Amino acid sequence: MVRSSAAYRIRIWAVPLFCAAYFSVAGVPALVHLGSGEEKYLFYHFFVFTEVPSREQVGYAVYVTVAGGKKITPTAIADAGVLRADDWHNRPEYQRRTNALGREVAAGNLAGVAREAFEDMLTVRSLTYEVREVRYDPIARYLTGEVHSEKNIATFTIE
Amino acid sequence: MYFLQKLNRATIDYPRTIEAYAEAPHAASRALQIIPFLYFFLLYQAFSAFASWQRMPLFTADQFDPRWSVAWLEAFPFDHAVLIVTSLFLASAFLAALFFKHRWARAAAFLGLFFYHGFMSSFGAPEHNLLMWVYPMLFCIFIPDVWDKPLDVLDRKKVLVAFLGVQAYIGVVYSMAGVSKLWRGLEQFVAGQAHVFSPDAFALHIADWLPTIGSPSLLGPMIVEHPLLGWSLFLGSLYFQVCTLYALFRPKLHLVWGVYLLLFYILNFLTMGIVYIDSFFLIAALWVFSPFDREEPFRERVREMPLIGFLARHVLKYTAR
Repeated sequence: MVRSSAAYRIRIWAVPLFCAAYFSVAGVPALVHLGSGEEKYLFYHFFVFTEVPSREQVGYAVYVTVAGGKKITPTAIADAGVLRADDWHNRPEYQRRTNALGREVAAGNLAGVAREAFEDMLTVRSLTYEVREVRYDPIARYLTGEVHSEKNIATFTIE
Repeated sequence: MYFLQKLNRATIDYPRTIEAYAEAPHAASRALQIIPFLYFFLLYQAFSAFASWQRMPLFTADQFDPRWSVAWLEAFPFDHAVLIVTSLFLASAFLAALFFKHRWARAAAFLGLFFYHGFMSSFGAPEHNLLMWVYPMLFCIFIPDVWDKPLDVLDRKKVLVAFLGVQAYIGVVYSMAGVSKLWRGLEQFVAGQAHVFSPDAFALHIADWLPTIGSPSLLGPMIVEHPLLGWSLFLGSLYFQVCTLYALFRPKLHLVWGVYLLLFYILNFLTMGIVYIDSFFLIAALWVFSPFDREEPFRERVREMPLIGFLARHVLKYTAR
């Protein structure tokens, strides 16, 4: 009985300690370096939708211009039939990789890890695509499709 | 300062709260009744995982970059690894659904889930949905094997402490999500950007998110066109999220927060098109039907709420009956 009571006294503090430990391991580093992205396996911080999009949002889009050796009307990557499995589960991941590619290209790195990760999503191995920087107000774009500006910042061809 | 004092009181008083609930058999018995439902739903998830992987693999071998917990799967061809990890999950969940009264079965179910979650996290993106189950299933192991015996006070205390652990992960995760929004919101406010307290914050989120998933939502367009409609929902949700951990240690609030979390999931789907069905069941089982709930009058629950309770007591003179 004495041993059981001692075990209970230890156990009763396990819950607050677990909460504090998880918050310290997963939450605090992510708060301090918010926006650095990666979540630690088993200690995910669930920081989603933390940043409210601005009225002058900068995003990136990829358009396919040549597919299978033929020049085509520039087609948004999601509509070009060249992604692995184009369902809504994967769309956010595709957009995340597209944005990472765009940021990498905008920083002057044309052959970095983000490009490799982006091209890993493609099923077609022979195409040319443009990376475009898009400036937009999310609400105006949603309601009318209007964007402030859109410019090509890189063109890549993969054989 | 008021909130910190309340939080401090909540955690310091927590052992006494558990002792008070252990005096009567009701709470511990109810906790023990909830456990088998968790394992049956885990079995449902395991069977769904097994069936979907055998019929149509979601990812391919060249995307597989195993986490440390499933590094041993690299010893097998990818097809075999899929079969092994889904079979382990199914078999262990099946055993636990039948033998949930035994700690070995609950430990086996945790391992099966742990490996499957590790496997699903090995394709680049974090697997959030299943992680909501991993920690609760870990705490379930610590529930003593007391289903078939009369419970004394110490048994009840052990059951209730372990059950609070099962509930705890939801409290931590939602509070962290809320605090991160608040923190980043303050940074954006200071920087002069749109921020979490802007009247159009929710509309901006919806308008930026829906084109990303390429899918419409039922209420999203209405909130984008009339941002003020979404403002109260957004601020209310922020309040509840930040205070979820506080609510964990205040049993009178479990039902209120459970109902909020269910509404949060429904509104997430209606506005942002996001579906998290598995967590929905977990929240219902652990918070809405919390064994700590004592059918308190509504005004008692309101008085217990952080900030709102303060206003109710001191400004509106909302007294207990």
